[in-house]
Amino acid sequence: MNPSPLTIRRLKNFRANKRGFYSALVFSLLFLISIFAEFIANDKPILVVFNGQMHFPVFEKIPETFYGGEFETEADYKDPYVKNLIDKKGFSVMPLIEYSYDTINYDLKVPSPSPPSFENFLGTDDQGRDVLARLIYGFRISVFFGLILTILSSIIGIFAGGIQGFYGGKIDLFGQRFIEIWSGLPVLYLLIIISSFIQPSFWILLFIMLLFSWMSLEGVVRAEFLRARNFEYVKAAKALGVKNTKLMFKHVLPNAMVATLTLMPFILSGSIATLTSLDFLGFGLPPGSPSLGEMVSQGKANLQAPWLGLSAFITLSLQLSLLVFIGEAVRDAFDPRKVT
Amino acid sequence: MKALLEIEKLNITFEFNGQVVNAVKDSSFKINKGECVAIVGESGSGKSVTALAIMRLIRSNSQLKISGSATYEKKNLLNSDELSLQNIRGKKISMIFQEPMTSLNPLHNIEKQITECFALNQKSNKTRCIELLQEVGIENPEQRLSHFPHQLSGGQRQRVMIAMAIANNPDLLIADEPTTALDVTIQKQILDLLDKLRRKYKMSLLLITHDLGIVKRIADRVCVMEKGKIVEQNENSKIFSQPKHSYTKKLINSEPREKKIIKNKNEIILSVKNLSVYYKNTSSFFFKNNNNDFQAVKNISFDITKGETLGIVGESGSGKSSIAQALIKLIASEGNFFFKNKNISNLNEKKFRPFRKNIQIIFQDPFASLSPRLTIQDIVSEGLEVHNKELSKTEILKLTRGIIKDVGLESSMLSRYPHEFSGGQRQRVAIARALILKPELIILDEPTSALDMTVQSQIVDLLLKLQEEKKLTYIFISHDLKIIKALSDKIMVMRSGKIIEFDEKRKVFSKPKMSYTKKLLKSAYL
Repeated sequence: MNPSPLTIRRLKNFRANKRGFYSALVFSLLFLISIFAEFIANDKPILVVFNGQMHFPVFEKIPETFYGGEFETEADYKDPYVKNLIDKKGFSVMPLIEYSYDTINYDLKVPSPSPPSFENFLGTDDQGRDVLARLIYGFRISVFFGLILTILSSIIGIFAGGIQGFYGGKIDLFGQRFIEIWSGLPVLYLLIIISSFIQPSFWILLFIMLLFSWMSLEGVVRAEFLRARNFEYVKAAKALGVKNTKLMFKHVLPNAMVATLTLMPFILSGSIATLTSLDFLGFGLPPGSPSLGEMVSQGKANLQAPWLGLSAFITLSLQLSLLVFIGEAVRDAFDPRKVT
Repeated sequence: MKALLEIEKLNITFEFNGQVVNAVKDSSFKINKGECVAIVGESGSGKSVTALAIMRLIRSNSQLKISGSATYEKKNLLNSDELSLQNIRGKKISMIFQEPMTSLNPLHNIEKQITECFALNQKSNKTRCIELLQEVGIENPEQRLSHFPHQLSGGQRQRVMIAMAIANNPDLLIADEPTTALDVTIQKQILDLLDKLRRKYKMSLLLITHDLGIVKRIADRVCVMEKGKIVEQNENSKIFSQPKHSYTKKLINSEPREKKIIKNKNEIILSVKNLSVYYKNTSSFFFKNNNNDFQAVKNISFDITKGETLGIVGESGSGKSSIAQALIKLIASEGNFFFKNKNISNLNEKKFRPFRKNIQIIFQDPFASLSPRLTIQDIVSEGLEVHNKELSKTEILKLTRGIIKDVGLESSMLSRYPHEFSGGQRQRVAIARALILKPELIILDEPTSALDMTVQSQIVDLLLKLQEEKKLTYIFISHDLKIIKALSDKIMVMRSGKIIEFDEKRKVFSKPKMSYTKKLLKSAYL
């Protein structure tokens, strides 16, 4: 498939915004790193060569008995006893950071939260868990949450907005009134109430947020559809006998995509911020899961350990600013005054 | 005679996305005192840019380079400072723009806008305003002073613009396509007014237009511009009697050829009975109030026989386009219409779909009627995908190739996107899209009014050729009598939703019955 000249010019415009372009590069790099978090920060070795055979403990559960130990549970590779067993008949390669997000460092010389050291690059939190490992995993979970939420709410928003805008009339009228009422519901209170009934998991949280976040796109998409359905080329296609569904997808939707794509990075950063604030308040992801918001609240609770608050703050602000810069570049790329 | 404004070697270049465009190349001309000079040319030939450069409404910057000189009262306008320009703009040289809808500020009343043009020390503004409005032929000027632009019609707005332009008795009035956005009858009034004022105040007039009829009537001298170059300039009479440059000849001879009259009064293809179109004006959701409804088309009946062309003429707002859209069911209508004796007015969308194949429409603006995101191949073949689903890809390709040749384009153009084409080529693509379904009736809704003169006649020629080859029936909607005259067999004159006159072309043109038709014909400069 060769891209249309319009797409090429848009890409060119995107690259012309240097700040946005480099932000996109840096963000993709960070995201790529965090996707492979298990290979970078983990309490299991990446590779174990035992008895001349290769094993990947990241993917498979290997019981301690396999190495000649006593327990039938999964081997604890941080245990000097297991290490010795492996080193006798082979060797193991540990990741760069030898802690996963939930690994507790029991060998701390000082009470937790411990300050940064060569063992824990950014120190540990108040439960003795490595801060850097938690940041990497937390970054990943928040980006994933944001991405899934953005994509799903865009799909719902485009669908609802498209139908309202294309058909207009009573559908539009009732749709708009429903949205006015729906957007009046207090999302945060609802989340607090629900989380007192059930322990919200990643997906439950996502679902509840989705119930409300689709409305941010619905407005612009509806406006674009309202405008585009009176375009002459849409009328011409209708005069050819093209069916409504095809009309919407082929002729009208591309117009709405510009507004949608422009808004998307901002929705993404918005949903990351919402997840973080919920975690900060303690109504977010289940306890123990790596989350930036929880790290911020730890920083608040342990002011004597500034590495907690500072690392969380820097990660968050970097992440959100990068997304906003990318958003600006995307907006430039789709600017009809620059690309015609 | 002494030259009032002398333009020498004017060069304007734009730089856009790395491309350099020479908008004006080495243009030199002069305007004498009290003279009317017309610049004629197609769109994109650099007429308006020239005018803007004289007024210094565009200035050199990193992407725009202006060089040359425009000498007025021994001063070069192109490099004089902002302060001295302020004493010239609006006082010595003033300007009227094309679009009266947007050139007046909607938030200020007429008095305020005209007063703005007066020098600060000038008193008794109100009486002067009334004088000016009277001068430009606005009725009840006292009341009009407190009106806002939206309360005036297009012609009245253009008159107010003229009043503002002549407020300080300028030496030179630049009119940039002053009548293009107006209806024909009003066009004539505005041009007559400009001519009258010019003689009365001994103003010079620089008229920028693409309409040769206007030029022939009021200009003293004519400059013909092509692609940024003035290719010929001469006295008005000489330009028209002995054009030298080939482009001038092409412009003058771009009158479309006329349709041969075919006499076959056999089969009535479309018959319309009591067609009405309402535009609903619902003020409230719960209480229906039908009194507010605007009736765009009022109880219209007519028949079209196979192979003939029905020309519908009328001013904007007369309901021409509403008929077109009602006939292909893009808008709701009342009354009945029969396609080959089958009542199609009450069919729903699904049952009407097979008929869409037979009735096609071509819209006015070729820039708006082609989706910018699809290739020409996709655009042209879209109808086939709806109506001939059994066709294979190679068959579709073969058909589109054939049809694209029929409309005078190359089949290699199929993979391109609409923005790579000129207006005329785009309109050909739109015609190809309609033709591929082999329709019997094509409704043409002002298909040439967005195009240049020379391209207009090419499109008309193409339409005539296609009609002969494929035995098509046309409903041709236009406000341009010249093109209607070339294409039609019968003519229907419409005004505010009603048929005023409906007869054979010859009878309408030679012996118009109604006074409105006479007025239309008179103002068309045929």
